[in-house]
Amino acid sequence: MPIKRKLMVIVMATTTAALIVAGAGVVWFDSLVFRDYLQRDLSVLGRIIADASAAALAFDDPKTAAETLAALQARTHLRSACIYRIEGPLFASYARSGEAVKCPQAAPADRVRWTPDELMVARTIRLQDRELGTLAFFYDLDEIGRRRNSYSAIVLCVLVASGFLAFLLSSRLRAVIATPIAQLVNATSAVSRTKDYSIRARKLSADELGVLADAVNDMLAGIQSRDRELREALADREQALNDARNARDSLATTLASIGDAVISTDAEGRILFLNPVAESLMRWPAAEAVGKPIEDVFRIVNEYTRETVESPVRRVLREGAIVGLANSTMLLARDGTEIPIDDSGAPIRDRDGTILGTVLVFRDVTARRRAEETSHLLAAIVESSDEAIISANLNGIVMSWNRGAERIFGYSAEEMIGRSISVMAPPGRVDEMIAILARIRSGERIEELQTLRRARHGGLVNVSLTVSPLRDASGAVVGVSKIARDITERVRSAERLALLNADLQRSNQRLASSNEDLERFAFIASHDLQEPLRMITTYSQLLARNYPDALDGNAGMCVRNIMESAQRMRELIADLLAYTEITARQDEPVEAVDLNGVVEKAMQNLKASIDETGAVVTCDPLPSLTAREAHFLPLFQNLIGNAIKYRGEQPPRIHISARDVEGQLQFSVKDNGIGIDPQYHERIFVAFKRLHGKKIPGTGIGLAICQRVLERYGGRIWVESQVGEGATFLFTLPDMAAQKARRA
Amino acid sequence: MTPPPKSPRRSCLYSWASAPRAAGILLCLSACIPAFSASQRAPEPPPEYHVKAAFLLNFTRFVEWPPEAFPNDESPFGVCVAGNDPFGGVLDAIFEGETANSRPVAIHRIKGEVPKACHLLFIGASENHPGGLLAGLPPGVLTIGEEEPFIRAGGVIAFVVEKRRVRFDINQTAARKAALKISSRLLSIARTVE
Repeated sequence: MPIKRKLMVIVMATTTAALIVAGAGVVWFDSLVFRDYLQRDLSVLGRIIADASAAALAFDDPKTAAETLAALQARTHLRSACIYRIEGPLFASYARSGEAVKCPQAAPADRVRWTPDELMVARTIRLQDRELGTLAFFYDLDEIGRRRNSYSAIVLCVLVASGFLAFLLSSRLRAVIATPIAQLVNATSAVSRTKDYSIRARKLSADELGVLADAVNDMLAGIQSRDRELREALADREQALNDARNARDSLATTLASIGDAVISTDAEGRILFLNPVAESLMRWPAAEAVGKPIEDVFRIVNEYTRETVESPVRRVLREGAIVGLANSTMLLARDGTEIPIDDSGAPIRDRDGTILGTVLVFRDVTARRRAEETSHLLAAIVESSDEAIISANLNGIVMSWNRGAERIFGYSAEEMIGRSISVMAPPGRVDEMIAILARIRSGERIEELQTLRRARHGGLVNVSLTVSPLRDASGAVVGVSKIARDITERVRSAERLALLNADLQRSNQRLASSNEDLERFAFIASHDLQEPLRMITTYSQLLARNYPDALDGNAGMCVRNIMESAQRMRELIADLLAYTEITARQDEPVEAVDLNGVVEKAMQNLKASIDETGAVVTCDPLPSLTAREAHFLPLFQNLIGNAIKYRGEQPPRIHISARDVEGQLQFSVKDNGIGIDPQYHERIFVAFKRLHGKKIPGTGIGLAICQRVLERYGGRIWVESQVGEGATFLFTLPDMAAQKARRA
Repeated sequence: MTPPPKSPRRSCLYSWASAPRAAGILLCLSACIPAFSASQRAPEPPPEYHVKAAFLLNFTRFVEWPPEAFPNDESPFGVCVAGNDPFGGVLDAIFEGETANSRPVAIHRIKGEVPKACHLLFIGASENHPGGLLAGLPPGVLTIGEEEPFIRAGGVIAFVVEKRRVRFDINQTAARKAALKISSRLLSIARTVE
């Protein structure tokens, strides 16, 4: 609502309210006053009528009294008037024309009585001091209501009229206030519409509105100047903002397209930004990661200790300096993938140097790491190689020189790198080197070229050279790689070996013939020795039997010793024969041999000692072989016999088994005897080597026979034992040998 | 100031003038049995005179006497009855304790000469020729008589019984001659005014 209308409303409302209050007051006051007036008026009238009718009453003349009362006709609201004698009865009465007389039977007791529609005023009629009667008026109070109505009507009329007048006046007067305000409003709205701060409000009066207009004008002037400044500042700022935006856009583009992962955080270490590379490396979408603490997203551990590494962001925030990560840092991506990374963090500072946040740049170094590892490995291989591995450019200038080269040629890497390789060429071989280089340039490869090279101290070294071209990525030959093996020793060994071989061959021939002689001698000797031995035995027995009395104690003992020695001799010879026989008679036919039967037979042969010692011999089912029983019987008999012979405190328990081990048949003969010290495990298989001397009788040939049998069949025999823990004799027969034996 | 007791007078007035009908009955009664009542108690007047006696007092209220009518301020107001007294004791009863023109009242019954102390002079019907009496009166005497001819004879007020009601006529000329000012209210009540 415009002020004009408000003013109007205020004026009208005030006027109306004042008039209504005033009107109501007037009407209310008038009704009060009127009632008072009415009462007084009636009482005056009563007095007049009372006086006038006193005579009529005094002289008992109701007619005259009635005539007097009739004069009351002029008072239209006087409903009735009654005169009573002093004694009580009605004396005269009056009623408004057209109305019946309505006088109470007796004179009213009170003087004034107001009822809602009637006012009764009574008056004593006196003649001098004497009371003659009572006059009562009954006044119709319609008048009051009517009066109020008419007053109200008047008030209304006044209201309307004054309202109209107020309206006219205020529409004139409000211009005094509204016009300057409208001026102000026009001016200010024009300013706000056009933003033209040069507009000024017109001052139309010297009152508060004039002051206001002045103030507005002052303000506008202030705003105008400030507006100008603002505009300039704004333009500057916009320019700066544009520059910043461009810079930011280009930065954002750079960050998005950069190959490294980039994360930026605020000063609390919460993520503000991460570029697509960071998203894909960490498997964290930017939308989810932004706002999280850096540790929740960028989790890093030490590759070796597996301990969480402090985020570089924290260190940057704490130290305010650029920090890098240790080499062995692994990023734990969201899905658990471990990625080796190279990383650095830097603070973001504002102009004052306050740290606003950090920027973290990292990259996946898996490929680099792998390449490094490979190259380390290669370098290590090259470095640890015994062979000289040398690279040179096409001009023969040494590029690399490994430790092998240092060792073989005596030059250190520092000495050689950058020098020509030709220093190693022995006199007269320079041309060869040039030729090799030429071949390499053409892409050829030279393998296992045996030649001579000169070492640092002038000595010549036999080398086997493998030379190959080094190619760059495009395939062009850019250098030479040489692998040189020192074969001086080999060459020398080969020469020595050849000499030794010749020697060996000669001594072999010698040995073979002597061995043959020996075997023959042994066989013949043992065979031929039996005849005189039998003689000694026979005659000794004859002597003992035929001349028991002729011989005294000493002689008898001598004869017995002779007999015993002869007996031992015979056993020895038999064993020796058996021993030699194994290798002899190679061409004898073979047969199927059931080893179970062989063991049975061996136990039969040993029955006496088995029974004597209470030995228990158990045997798993054994295979059959194609061989000679004559070879395996002594084998088993010797082993079982030994087991009984070298028994411990307990009765001997012997177990024989066979099983297949790596394609070979492996037999074992296990006992619970006294055992054998490991240092003797080899010696016991040598002929005539005995551990127990004469304490336990034996020829010292048994195990040698066993070994010889197995040698013959390509097998092997050995023992596994400790002193006091029994012994297990094991022997193998190659399956092939067994089969061959079987076939044969 | 408490008024003096008036109950006998009031009852008298009431018995006469309460209602026309009651008055009629009373009048009839009094007319039918005068001899009886007179034979019983000699001074009891007819009811008509009760009214007239009251009227006499009332007249004093509406008439102003000239100061010359009284020798001094303490002179009583003289009420005189000439001829036979028709009121009996009623008149005394009515006037007893009353004042007229603010003076005490003295009642005189006169024969022949009218004394100077009379201010109100009732001339009864027994005086057949009141003219003689009236002619010799000084001013300041309100003369009241019976019947119309009394007026014509120069009396001021004459009682008239009309339709059994006591009315009166007034002769203003006589009143003026007697220097009396009669209230207009009294004049308005009068049956006729000469």
